[in-house]
Amino acid sequence: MRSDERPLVAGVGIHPFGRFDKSLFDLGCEAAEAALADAGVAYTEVDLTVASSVYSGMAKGQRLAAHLGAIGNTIVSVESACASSAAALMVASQAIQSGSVRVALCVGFEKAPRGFIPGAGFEDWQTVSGVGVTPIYFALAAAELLHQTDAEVSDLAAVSVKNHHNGALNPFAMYQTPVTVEDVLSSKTVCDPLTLLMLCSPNEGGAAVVLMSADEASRRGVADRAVCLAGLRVVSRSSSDWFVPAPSRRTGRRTSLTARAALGALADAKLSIDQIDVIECQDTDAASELIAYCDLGLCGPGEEAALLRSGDTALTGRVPVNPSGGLLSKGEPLGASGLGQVFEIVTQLRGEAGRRQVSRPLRGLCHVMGAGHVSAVSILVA
Amino acid sequence: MICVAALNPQGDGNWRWPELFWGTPGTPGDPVTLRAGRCSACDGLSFPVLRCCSWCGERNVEARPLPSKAIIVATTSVLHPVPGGEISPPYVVALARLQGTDLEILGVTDCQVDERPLPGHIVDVVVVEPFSTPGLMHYAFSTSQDNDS
Repeated sequence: MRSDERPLVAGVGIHPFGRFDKSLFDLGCEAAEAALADAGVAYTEVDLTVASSVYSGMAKGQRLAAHLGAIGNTIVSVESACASSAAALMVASQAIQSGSVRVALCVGFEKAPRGFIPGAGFEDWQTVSGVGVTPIYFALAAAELLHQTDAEVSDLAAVSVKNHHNGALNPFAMYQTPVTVEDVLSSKTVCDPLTLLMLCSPNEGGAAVVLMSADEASRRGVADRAVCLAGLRVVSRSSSDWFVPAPSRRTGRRTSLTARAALGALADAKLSIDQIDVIECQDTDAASELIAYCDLGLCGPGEEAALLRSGDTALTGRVPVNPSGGLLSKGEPLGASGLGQVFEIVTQLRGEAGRRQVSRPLRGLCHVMGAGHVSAVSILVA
Repeated sequence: MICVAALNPQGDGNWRWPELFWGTPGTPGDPVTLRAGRCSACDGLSFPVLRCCSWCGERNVEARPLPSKAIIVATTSVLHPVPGGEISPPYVVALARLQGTDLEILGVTDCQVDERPLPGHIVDVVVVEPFSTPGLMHYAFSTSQDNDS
């Protein structure tokens, strides 16, 4: 991808994540209208709308567009579990790069059921046998991390403390109250070693971005405020990856789909992980954030806990991770969470993140994982 | 993964998901042999058997039995009801490597939450009947055997 072909994020918008007495489409429309206003674009000027949601049924994009003022342009609906909105971003990005689309709108919106998420990519026999929910797999990965590295349960709690600290500074987060290590450790055990405060809550919300080409942004006079989507990879699992609903896996060949996504996206952007200033990563549970440290290349195997303890991933650290509070404090509206990360990184790169603003970031990274089947990494450059 | 296998609740003797098993599973407590696929090209194992090798894509995959002993890699407890699940909590789920292979599989165990096996513990793969529906059975990792690991 040549640099002049890279799409620009010209506008971002978000509806807070939480639980609301609103319709699904109200959540999406409020986010979309905020992003359109941020980009100075009317919906009638949008060539392509890509909608992502997991629980909203068929023709979600078209139904959303009816509320935005549908004009008969192209609308695509996508679903890739928790990576749904990253898939939407990929579709819109490629459409912009192809030259067939001038302005694209990505909208993620969700009203997820409470509690365990059913049907998250499992086979029927897995569901019947009582293993068809994701926290079991997160917990096994956490247990393995604790067994194979020097990470301790207190480190898992510390991830939650860090992210809830950041979430307390984020008006869009579901939980805006700091917690202590003791709070986390004494909260209800869900699947040990994971307690309730080490797991994110499925919830409701919306997020949206407006993409356009550099030429279009210049023509509209919005290029200065736009952020470049310099790299984006959406990678599906291979059999040697440990993924959430895996019936089996092979030892000795263990690979990471997140590592492949990160390497690809960074190569697209002609950057190394050392040049990334701020990261939003998939902290569906506290251990997943630690595992992502290694998968993204922030540290080597076994060094995850040391990186956390060093403070480098704290809001004031060398490379803050989840300055938004992450999913642990925002909660996770599955179809919107990826674009929620893009909202956060763009806001950070613009220097508009208020009390949770990190120090002068120029390059950010977003990482989402869809039910362990899909990993997506995007690179944003100011 | 786990489980599975379940005798038809109507009691007609047919196992649900028979493709997961090598032969006909016995009664609760009996060893059970799971059915894997072995690739003729790369020798890689997959459970369950798939239409092609999950490691190299080769289509020539032959079924073969898996060992009925496994080494515990990690465990967790399930303390709350799982949507669609027919096992009443609490119960323990384990990730275990089948002995003599490089294949790890998931399964429930027959142990209590406070008596779970540690990593490295050797367990047997057996038939259990843990479901709330009478007659439903599946495989599980059993910790009841003597262990010198």
